[in-house]
Amino acid sequence: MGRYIIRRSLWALVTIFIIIVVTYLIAYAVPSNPARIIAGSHATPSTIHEIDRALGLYKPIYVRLYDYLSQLLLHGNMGFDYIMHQPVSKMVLAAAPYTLYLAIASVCAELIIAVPVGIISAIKQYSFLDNSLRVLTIIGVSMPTYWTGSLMLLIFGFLIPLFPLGGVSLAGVVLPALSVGITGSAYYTRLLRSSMLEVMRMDYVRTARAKGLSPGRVLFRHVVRNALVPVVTYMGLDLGNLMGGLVITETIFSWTGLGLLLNHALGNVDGALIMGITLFSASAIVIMNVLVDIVYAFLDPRISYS
Amino acid sequence: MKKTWMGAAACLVSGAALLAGCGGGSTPSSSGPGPAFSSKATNGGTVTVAFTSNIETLDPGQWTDVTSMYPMQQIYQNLVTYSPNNATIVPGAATYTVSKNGLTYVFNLKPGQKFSNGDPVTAQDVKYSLDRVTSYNASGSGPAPYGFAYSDIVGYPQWNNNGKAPAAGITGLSGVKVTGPLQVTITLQKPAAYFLNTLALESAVILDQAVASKYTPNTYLLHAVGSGPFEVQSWNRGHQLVLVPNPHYSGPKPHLSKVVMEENVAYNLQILRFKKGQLDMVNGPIDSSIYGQVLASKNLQNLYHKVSENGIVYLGFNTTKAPFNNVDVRLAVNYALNKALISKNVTNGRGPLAGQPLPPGMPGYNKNIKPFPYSPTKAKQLLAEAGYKNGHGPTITMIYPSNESSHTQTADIVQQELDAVGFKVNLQAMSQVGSYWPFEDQASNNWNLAWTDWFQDYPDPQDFAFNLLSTQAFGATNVGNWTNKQFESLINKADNMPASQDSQRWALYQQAETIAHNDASWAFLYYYWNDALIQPWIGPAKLSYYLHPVEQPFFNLIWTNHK
Repeated sequence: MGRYIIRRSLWALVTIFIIIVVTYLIAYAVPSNPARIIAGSHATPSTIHEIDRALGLYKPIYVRLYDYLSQLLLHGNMGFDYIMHQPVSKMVLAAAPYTLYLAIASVCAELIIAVPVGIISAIKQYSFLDNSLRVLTIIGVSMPTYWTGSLMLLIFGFLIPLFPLGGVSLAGVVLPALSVGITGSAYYTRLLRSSMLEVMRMDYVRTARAKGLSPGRVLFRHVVRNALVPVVTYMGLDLGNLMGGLVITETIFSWTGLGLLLNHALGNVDGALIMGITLFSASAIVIMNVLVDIVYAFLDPRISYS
Repeated sequence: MKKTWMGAAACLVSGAALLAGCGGGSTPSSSGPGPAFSSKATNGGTVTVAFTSNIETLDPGQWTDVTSMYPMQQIYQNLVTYSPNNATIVPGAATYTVSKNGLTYVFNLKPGQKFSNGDPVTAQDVKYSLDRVTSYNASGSGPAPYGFAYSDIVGYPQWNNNGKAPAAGITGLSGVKVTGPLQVTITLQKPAAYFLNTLALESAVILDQAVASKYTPNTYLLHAVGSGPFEVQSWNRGHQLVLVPNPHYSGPKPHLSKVVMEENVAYNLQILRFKKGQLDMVNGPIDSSIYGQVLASKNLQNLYHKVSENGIVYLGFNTTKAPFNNVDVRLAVNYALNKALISKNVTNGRGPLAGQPLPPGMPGYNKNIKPFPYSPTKAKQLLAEAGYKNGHGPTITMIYPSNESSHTQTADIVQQELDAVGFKVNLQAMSQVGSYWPFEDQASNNWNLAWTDWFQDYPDPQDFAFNLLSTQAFGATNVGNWTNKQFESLINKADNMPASQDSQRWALYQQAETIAHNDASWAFLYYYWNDALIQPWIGPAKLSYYLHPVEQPFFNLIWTNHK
């Protein structure tokens, strides 16, 4: 197990390294000149050259990549943002807690919707109820977040003002989390349903029933508990993905996390900031992947890493 | 002999004043159906506004964006400023005299002025502020984006040194001298009628040397101190900035007890929050995505205000190579484009059609020039005369920034309409690069047509003529390097005349406009406008306090009766 964890972690580092290199190349392939951002539209070409020289922007890309990596690895320096005039790491770390809060709330929302729906669908397999719920989840997954988000705001923020109209606050998380939840719950529902159907066919469930346990006890003690294992592991991956993928939700709800920050960074072709956010999000996904693999072994004793 | 320029005389300094009329604080015309304002002056209360973007900075050496103007205009004072009624320059922190030859400006600070921390405003602070914004490292990462605006001051070339550290012994602008505890004398290299306009920019605000010199620009912006009507109470960057009245402000006390500026609020939220009364204004230009809601609602229409704005959207021609080195081909593009359709689709018809570089609100605008009519037949005929016969026009590449859907929409229409007369247009989407994107791609010179726009820096035609069409802006803001000898000599003459000869200056620019039109310097599309939604409990009923030709809302002059 120990060896597995070490091997898995090393591969994770390699993955993150490859992501850094590829993102760096992409971010700098796009024509964007930090010198122009600094000096503005009126600057003369000679001023631009001077800033290029001062910042080392004239160097070949592999030298700049090397500089970036050494700054990042040795000093934790993600570069400087010339639009907001602050270090990228400071901006990313300021925004990350908001995204984490929203991501956790979104996973909760997904589960609140998905767990009952998944259980009902499984125990009433092929019934009218099951079919209707499946259709509903397909509708849910098909609705774009910008649409569900706007609808949520209109209904529960404006017409029935239960929640604030955007912005970061304790209660303000409900609507964005719900709009992520509606879309994201579909996958959980299907996962739980198929996992439940599989578990329900297991011998130990039949044994439990044969022992005369009540249907409710069989369902919750033996079926649901075991069927939740893949759901729990998927939660980890989902959380990692949400840390990097809430651009639209955050923008609609003015939720000032990484997604909104990335939206601005992309609009301004702000290379250093794009890099910083991508690096952070990618690392979150990779780390969650590793954690999920490790936790999986504890949750399911049948799995052993050697 | 020197002459004191104040009051009515100052009208000559500024351009739009001539059009707006210098008589009695005229306001820009509103096309709304007589919207309501609150007439009852009330003290106390909070006004809340929101932006879709961040407030980027409070440091004049870093300032470039309109959003940052909102707080900066309230926190700081300039030597001169704009009248809240129109685009006339009036004394700000100082009264001033200008020498007859237009080279020497003497500013006398009004006595008793203090920064919000209680420090007195001195001539040395003024000198420090101007030296700081023009230094080679004003922004903390290079020269200030607006440092160029002061390049006419004696000693600028040596001090700014094109972004390099100055030679030993040069410690500031030699043309800015402290000539008394409250007196600063500025000497220019050449007369520049627009110079006072540049002193009214956010880049020329007066800093407290004792505070600003303690920090780098990147840390100063969080400790900004000025002598304006408001001071920063708190700033949670990216979330909200709160202003409260500056207790040491020597001018009239603001009515409001608080101004809240919220950052990163999307348009869809702004309109919902405005309807709920949580926002007191939706600042313009109102995004097309929510303008439809304004049109659909009688209530909103009553709160909607619109004014013209000194800005233009145009297509720059790359005149350094074929086909746009040929005036007939440039004219063909102007005739081939249905500008009314573009304005309708992209601006909901709010943008007036353009036919010359200067916008209608700018002095020097030639009202006898009409936009090119839409005539595909004429376009084909011009192409044939240029040697492109039988509908076989040239193949061209058009670059445009794809960061806003309206740019993409414009590019699509341009492609369709030029293809219809025989061109073959390849579209190439660019990202918004820095603040002025086509520049970067000019080096590679692989484009023919470039979507471009321009907002005034200050309401003087020099801002357009020099920056966008002079040979000195080649390879930079003169997108495509269009030039014309006669045009160049006219604007050179006008740009170097003192403000005392403004009426002759305007006449020269008007002649130059005719040349730019006839020679098709650009493909002219439409002019910008500005509009806003303002709650009925906000007053007074002075539209220019909210939609000013140059400045942002004058929060120091407005009140709220919101319960």
